[in-house]
Amino acid sequence: MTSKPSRRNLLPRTGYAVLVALLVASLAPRAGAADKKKHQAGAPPVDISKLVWPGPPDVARIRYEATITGEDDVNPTTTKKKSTWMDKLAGVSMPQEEGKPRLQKPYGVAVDSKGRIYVADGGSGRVFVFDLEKKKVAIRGANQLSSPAGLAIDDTDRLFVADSAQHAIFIFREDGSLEGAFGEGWLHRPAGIALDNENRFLYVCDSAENHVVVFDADTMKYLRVVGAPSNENAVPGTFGNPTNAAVDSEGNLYVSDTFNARIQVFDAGGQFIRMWGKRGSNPGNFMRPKGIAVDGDDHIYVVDSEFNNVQIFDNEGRILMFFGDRGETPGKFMLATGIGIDKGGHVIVTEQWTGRAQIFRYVSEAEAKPEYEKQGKARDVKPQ
Amino acid sequence: MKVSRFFPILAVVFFSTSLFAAKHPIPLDPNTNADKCIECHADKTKGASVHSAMSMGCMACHEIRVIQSHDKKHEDITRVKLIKATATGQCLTCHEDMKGSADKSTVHAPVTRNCLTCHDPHTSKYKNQLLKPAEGGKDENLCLQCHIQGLNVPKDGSRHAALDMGCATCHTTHKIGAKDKRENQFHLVKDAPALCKDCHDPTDAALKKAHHNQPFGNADCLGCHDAHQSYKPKLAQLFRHAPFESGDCESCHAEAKDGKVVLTTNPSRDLCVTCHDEQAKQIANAKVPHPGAQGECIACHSPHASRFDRLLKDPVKVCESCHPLQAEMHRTKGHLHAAAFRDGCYTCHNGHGGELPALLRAEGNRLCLECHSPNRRPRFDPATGAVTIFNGAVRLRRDYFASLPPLDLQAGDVMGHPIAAHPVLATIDRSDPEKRRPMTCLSCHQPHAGAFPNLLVTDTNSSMPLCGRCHNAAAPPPPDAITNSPVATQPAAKKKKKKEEKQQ
Repeated sequence: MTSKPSRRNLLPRTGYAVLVALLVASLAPRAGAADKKKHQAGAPPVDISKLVWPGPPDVARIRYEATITGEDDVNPTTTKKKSTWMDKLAGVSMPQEEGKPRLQKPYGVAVDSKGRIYVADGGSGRVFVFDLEKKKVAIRGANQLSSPAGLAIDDTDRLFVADSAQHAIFIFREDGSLEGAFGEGWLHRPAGIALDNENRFLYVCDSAENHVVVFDADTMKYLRVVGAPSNENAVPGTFGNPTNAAVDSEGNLYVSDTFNARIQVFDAGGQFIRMWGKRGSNPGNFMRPKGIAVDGDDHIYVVDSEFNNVQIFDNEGRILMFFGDRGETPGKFMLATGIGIDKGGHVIVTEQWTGRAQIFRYVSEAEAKPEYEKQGKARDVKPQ
Repeated sequence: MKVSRFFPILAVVFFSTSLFAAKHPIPLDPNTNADKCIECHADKTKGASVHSAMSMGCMACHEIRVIQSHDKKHEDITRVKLIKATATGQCLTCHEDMKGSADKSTVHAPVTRNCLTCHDPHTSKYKNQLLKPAEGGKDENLCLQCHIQGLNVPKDGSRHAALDMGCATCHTTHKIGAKDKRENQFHLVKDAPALCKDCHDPTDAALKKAHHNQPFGNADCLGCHDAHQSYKPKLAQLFRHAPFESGDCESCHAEAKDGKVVLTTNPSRDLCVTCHDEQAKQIANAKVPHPGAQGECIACHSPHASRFDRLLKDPVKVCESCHPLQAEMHRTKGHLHAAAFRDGCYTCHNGHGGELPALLRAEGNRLCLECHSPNRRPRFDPATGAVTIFNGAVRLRRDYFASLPPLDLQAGDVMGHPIAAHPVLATIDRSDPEKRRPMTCLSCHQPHAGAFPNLLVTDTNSSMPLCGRCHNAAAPPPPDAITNSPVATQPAAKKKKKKEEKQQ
């Protein structure tokens, strides 16, 4: 965060009504009035600095940072000063200006080397590129894509988009031009995709054919298929609607096997390694596991659309913690679906219902170590 | 929301770390010679132990890819990657003999997953490009990063001096072969006693005297001795026969003749019975006799010492030698009932014969609920440090119940699992009503092993096929309840009765 948070940031929301008179002097009267109006409308008071998981006194490992719904959030100056930051925090979508595109049904998320956040929007059939540094929103694939789902970006910032309606993968260059499309004939309903940058593999989950197709990310050639459709026994290595995939630092492939309510792990050669999870409502169980991502410490994040939370596991499948709940306020989700994690530890979660992409920050093992030590809890940090 | 507030940290993190490593910093030709690589990577070719494949050039394992730029603004991209997807896959292209198939052979676990756990693919200071030597203390020994043998020797115990000579003295990590052979299972250079005899000469006078001048040259050393460490002197195994422990060899052995063991009484069974007449009576008079117990006692028990309680040679393998069906399950099924295949068949079956079919220790659900009921009453036995069940007949590890949460079910309950109203007893198993089998735990679960953790009889993870065996439209109408069924006296039925009485 910035070195000096604004006073508005520190304001305890519960005491708002009492303090509002004092604040009017220091704040713009218009903003104050809007806030007051909002408050009267019954918006839940939220202090984002306290949106951390797990809560105190435990050491926070996930922090809420921001919500993006469209251009308004990225560049507030270009829009009418109707929406205050508090409206955004409350997750209330303000009416957008004519021609200002807004996320409708976001699915896949990816982040490029410049920190631009790419969100596939199945509702409007295009990919949004949120450049937070330049405060710009760009669009990829307007009039080219029809139902973009999974996204992946390689180290040269080529963008791979799975289009589940056109049964193909589209590639866009860094400048936004279309490089090509491939996969027709191999893919029936491509959903989530993942890229193994070392091996140059593009993994595509085909949720209709119930397997994962592997393509060469440079030559775009079909290589092989991982897994097969499940029968009622759902033996290891078979899928019931695999929707999303992720790759860890060792090149292992993690697939969220949605209808079998489990996560399956394969090595880069396609050999089954392990699986975990079963249907249920305990922590570590799944109902509809969808988006999956791996952070810098090789923890596995799994979004569950039914629970509207993100469960975090170690790479052997032991549950570590979860965050999120059903709701429309920051830190809560309505139909949570996609997830992406960048190398800086930013966790971006998309929701189908509210059309938001919420940004969280993972506090890494190394960053959290001093806090644990302060509390007298020894931590072994994995040698890098 | 002001996005700019959190931008600085975004920017710092994004730009300070190089995101990916696969891009080669210097543009290369796809047919680059190894000499060119060595200009920068000279360190990979120097060292005490260099991979022989290095002489074949870098391109034997690595591949250079050049992706040409689509316009003049961008440079071509050079990538260097392995030819195969995984490092292990790359190694196996030449070292195919190291590959084992999981069902037929036993492979050192790290070998199956990642060769680079132990080896450096290019060069190392140590033999076979190991990351650390296979000898030395805890910190420098590669094997001791995972294994703990010899590290926690008790004060009065003993430690095999050969541990200081390095693990490779007795073990060969990559040995692959049939699982049931000990030398394969423990990756031994060769099996005992031949292995032991490389250092310990059986003709040595002191060694002979220590073995009371009995012929021991061809005996299995590991029957009485632990190869690594022991709580007792001379690496003795944990469980010892009382006369053996007290050195009272004469009670069983006469002086050896022509290099052969001579017992005071023959056959050996008669010798055992002189003390263990109780067991002999049980074997002879059992209502359900165990044919396997009619022969020599030493077919299953070790006469001197053993790693296992009751001096069993092995609590599972001795049974499997006659029961191939269970041995097959042990080999092939993914999930095993720990009580059977870890703690031993004798947990549930009485090897000396019993009152009940299949030599079971208790009838029906009572057998399972001895451990799985909240009313279980394991007793702690201070003499052995074990917990006992079945009135002391079975001794189990002290932590046996630590990881065994009980079901909400007690011996004699007629319903309650998997849901409160599901019958578990006193009704007919409707999956095959012709047989009129009563409902028990075994109506739904397998006692030995299954494909999934809950050991369902359908060998599935999903409960649908299991439930469908009874709960389907095509199933025959419910058969009459077993006579005198306690189901009839269930609370719901009672209430109904009372209601009817009242109405009358």
